Amino acid sequence: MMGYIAIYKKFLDCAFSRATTFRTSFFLIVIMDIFFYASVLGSVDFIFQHVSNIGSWNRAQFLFFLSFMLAVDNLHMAFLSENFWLFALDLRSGVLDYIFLRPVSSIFLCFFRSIRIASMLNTPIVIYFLIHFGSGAGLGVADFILLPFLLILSLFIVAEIEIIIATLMFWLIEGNGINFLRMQLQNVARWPDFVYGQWAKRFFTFLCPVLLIGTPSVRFLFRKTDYFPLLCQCFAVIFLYFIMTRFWSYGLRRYESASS
Amino acid sequence: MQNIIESHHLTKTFRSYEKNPGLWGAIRSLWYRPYKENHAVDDFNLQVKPGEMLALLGPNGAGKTTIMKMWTGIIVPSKGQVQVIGHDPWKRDKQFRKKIALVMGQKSQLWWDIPALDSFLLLQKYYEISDYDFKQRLEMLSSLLQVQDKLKIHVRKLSLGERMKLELLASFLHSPEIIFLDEPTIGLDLVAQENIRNFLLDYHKLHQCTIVVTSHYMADVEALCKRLVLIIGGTKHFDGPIEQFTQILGKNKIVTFNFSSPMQQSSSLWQDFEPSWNELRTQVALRVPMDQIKAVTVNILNNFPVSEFSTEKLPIERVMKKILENPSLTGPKGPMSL
Repeated sequence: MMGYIAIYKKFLDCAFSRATTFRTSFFLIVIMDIFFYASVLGSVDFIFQHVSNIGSWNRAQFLFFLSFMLAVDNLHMAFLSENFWLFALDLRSGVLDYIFLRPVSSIFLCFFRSIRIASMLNTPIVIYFLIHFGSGAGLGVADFILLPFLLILSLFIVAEIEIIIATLMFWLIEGNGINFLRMQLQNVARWPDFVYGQWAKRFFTFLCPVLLIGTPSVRFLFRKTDYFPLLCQCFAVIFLYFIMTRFWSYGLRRYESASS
Repeated sequence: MQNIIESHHLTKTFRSYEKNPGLWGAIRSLWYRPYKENHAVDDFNLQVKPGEMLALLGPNGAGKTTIMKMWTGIIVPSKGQVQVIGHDPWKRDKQFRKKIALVMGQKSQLWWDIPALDSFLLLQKYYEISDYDFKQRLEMLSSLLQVQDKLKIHVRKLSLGERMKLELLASFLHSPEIIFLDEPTIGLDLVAQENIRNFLLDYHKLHQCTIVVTSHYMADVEALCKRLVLIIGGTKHFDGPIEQFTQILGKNKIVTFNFSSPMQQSSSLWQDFEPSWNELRTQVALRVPMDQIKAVTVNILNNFPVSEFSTEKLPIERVMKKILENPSLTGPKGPMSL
């Protein structure tokens, strides 16, 4: 475990080294993320100027949920996102060969090696949204203490779902379709489960459980008796980990590298 | 002595489909894909002893790189058994991966946008190399490769030769027991090629590790390896010492004559010795059996205006070219297969 922490620290060093090499791109990413946050929160705020509730949630609750999902998205952008695009490229070009030679978990090297420092600069902004809208939604001190753990739990489930989907690239080779599918699923997860119809909700909870990313945690924070979805989320993290590692091993055996 | 690499009936089959060109071909390929199987490596057997320097030789698409990828565990064999340092490579044990290194001349393992030293520090963590060992090895390798002043420069700013040296450095940092080199000198100029070869020879002398190399440059093979394995169409066609390989076409030497005036190519004298003329017809290279060299040379000296002549052993390129033109000279049915 210490070895992996040491490696991750080096990934961070390399990410800083790379980020400071291309300064303009670095700041453009910061600005792009801020635009994204503003458009998501602004559009929902606009809807609440005309209605008082969506489902059972009021404006503060709904904006807190969106802030929660933006925080997950921010962590995802900072620590994961770029790796899926790199994976698609490396798979086609055969650069993965070197990754599979290293005496380190190949999942770790494929999906956690590239870190986007620019997105980290925006983390304080999403934390501010969380605190601001969380206070408005009536969260207490204990809730705010619990919040980082729930965020990590949500990030785990995102990572597992996306790694399982990305593993399909071993068969498909071309990764753009898979990566666009991931992005669409992120859009699905960005809304609470009650906005979906019965069958869509079942599909995205049990078969492709992207609705387990944010809704269970937020529902639990709003109402402590609503803990069953959170238990389902915890179970899903363990179950998906099992599926992910097995499926990955199977995918590795399919890997054919690229001709030199 | 126990073998460090054992391959028995190693086979790798790839599946691909044929697609007709144009729009209709693209649309039709959505539902109709006539797949065909290609045996990139077919029933390949080989044993390698610790400390050997071995060359895998063969034309493009012969299966050399595929064999290396199976030996390093990157791809899984379709059939057959393979053991490298006592491990099944495709199981990718951590201990196994710490003992091997692979350098691919056409693919980079260094991070493009950062200095090479940052990549080396990352490799130090991957391979759990102590700070003391890392410092020592980095100093030793960078001085052998003469790249001490290149370590802190962004990789994308380096020349191909400099980059290749740093690729080698990256692969040797963890002191691997076996080093697989897949065309390590490809695209390099003659001086850079020689530098790399010298480094490999020096390193092997110091560490006695096993080195397996593939290259299209015969100079690499001749300089580095005593043993040569020829692969054509995924099968082994020759396995033995280089001296023996050069004698596949018989015990011959190349005798080159320079003439003071253009010669008639039709003369019967040289027709039996595969003459290779220059454009002006003032120079001819003949492949002459060892036992006839004296007689042939005397004959030509007596009958033609020879200004200069020289003899050399049969170049390995020439043997390769002949075998590729006529693979039956070697291989399962050939006279020299071992």
